[in-house]
Amino acid sequence: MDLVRHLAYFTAIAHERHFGRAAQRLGMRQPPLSQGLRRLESELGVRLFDRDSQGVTLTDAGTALLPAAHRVLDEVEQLQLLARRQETPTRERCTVRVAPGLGARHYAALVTACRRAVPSADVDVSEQSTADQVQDLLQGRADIGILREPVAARGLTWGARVVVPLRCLMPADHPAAAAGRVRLRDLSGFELILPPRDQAPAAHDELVAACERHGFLAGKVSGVADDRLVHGLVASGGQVSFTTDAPSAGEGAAIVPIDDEPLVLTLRVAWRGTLDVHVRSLPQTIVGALTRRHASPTVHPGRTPRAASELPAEPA
Amino acid sequence: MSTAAHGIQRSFDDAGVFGYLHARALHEPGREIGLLPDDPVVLASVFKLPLAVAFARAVDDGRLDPTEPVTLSPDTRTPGATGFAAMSDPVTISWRDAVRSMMTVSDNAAADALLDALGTDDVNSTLAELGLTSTRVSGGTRHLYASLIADFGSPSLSEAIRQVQNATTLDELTSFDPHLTTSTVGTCRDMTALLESVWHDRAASAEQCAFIREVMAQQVWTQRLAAAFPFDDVVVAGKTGTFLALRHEVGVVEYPNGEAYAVAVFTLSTRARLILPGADAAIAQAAKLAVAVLR
Repeated sequence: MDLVRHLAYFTAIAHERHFGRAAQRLGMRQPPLSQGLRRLESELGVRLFDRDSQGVTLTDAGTALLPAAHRVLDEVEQLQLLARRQETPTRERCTVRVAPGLGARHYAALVTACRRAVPSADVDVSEQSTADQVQDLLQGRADIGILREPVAARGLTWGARVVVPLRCLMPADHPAAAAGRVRLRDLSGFELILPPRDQAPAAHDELVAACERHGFLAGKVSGVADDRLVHGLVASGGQVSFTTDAPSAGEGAAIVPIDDEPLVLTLRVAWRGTLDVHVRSLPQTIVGALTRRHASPTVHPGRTPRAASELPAEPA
Repeated sequence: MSTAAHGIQRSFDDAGVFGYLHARALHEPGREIGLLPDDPVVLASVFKLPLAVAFARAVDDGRLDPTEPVTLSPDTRTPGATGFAAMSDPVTISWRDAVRSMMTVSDNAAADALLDALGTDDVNSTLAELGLTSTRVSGGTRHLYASLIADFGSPSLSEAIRQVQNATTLDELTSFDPHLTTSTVGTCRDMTALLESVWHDRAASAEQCAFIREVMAQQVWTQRLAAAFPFDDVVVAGKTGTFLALRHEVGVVEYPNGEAYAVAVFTLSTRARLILPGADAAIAQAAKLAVAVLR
């Protein structure tokens, strides 16, 4: 358990006397906050709050422990300040790694927003596979990662999820290119070019499955890493690809929005432990820079889950 | 990490899930392979295997008559997707057929009725007597449902399932937290040891061990362990466990020449998806690699 983080939950709830407001203050959602509190209570072996319809009140044990929690958090902050003074660099540095998949416009928005948010620091943004990011974050070689989901990794602190809709890169002479919109089922018969599966195997498989879900069974799926080569192959005809770039046309290929935006690139911001004070706002900045007005696809499960899920059809 | 363990880890990484595995050759003690084999994981329906062993011992002791009828009523039994748990009307069956339903189709109603009859203490003392100190049954499926409902403060299970499907991360849910004393947990190593004791007639009498092996070989789900060994002359006996993020199977793969391998694979997905074929395939692939190393 990350005791420092959980103590921060404790002090925030004690200050706000309200889970919702405490969650807002911490920049998180309420369920993980209340789960975190329960875990802390279980770890300490005492109840810290009484919950009722009026809100939350400190228990006697909570009142007794609160000053100590404040002392721990103050000492941690002192420790971080001291550590930073030892470095004595002229400017702070922050290394941000991004999983492949975003287009130039997203990178521009990302870098601009980061620089504006922390003008006192050099924010270094570069591209790296999710698997390598996990290693670099855990070993302190990178500060903030923007990882491609799904990712199964331990020891990281997770920020918000970013969902970026994908558009179709298709030959310019496809009728949908002129129409300015395409349904996935209209791509039947085309071959699909995606980044090599090795970069993000589970995400790759899910993307291919989502195409099938919406009626596009690619004749063949090939892996190509280089964006210019992808563009050239698509322009040559018979093949399509997906991109986060904005709709446009040129050099024999067009970027066309897909009806209902069924395909998305799902990213997740992550870092190790607690971020330095001076870059603590960056995860939120990153999410803001990458998020357009796009409703994340909420799951609408069938009313009767398949038996293989081992869940009741109409739960009691 | 050995080359083989790397390959197994890669199967899990490819599917984007946390994975745990232990496999041992039953015909050649000492040959084994593991990946986090001693990490506790919430068992989901895999708890029905130790429960079946506790049943077998209760029959041996004369505490339970396997042919005695038990009635599962729709208003009191635990709901589920399969078996009697999914039916509309009261069902009366013998205890041993309740066990068969619980093991072959993971029937929640049959399992919780049996657990109510035996008690968790009985299951846990069975585990202790077999030396399986890392496995603990705190409750059955009803208990697991209750923990999920409490996690979200939801009014009902269906509401909790809806919420979990849109949750950002599943790691923080207490329902999947193996370190809580209220969780029903086990390790892959404990599960292959339990299978070994069933296959070597040490878990209960030879007759009752044979019964457990028989019902495990009637396992209907084939997308996990059985998918890795699709041969007419190879018997795969298993017990699955599935609950939102959790997908497990523990079982024994038997070749006609007498080679037998106990395999336990647990997975935890970060995605709240009811259907995740990639995780099922990863279980098959990991089991295939593990058995290949031991052969």
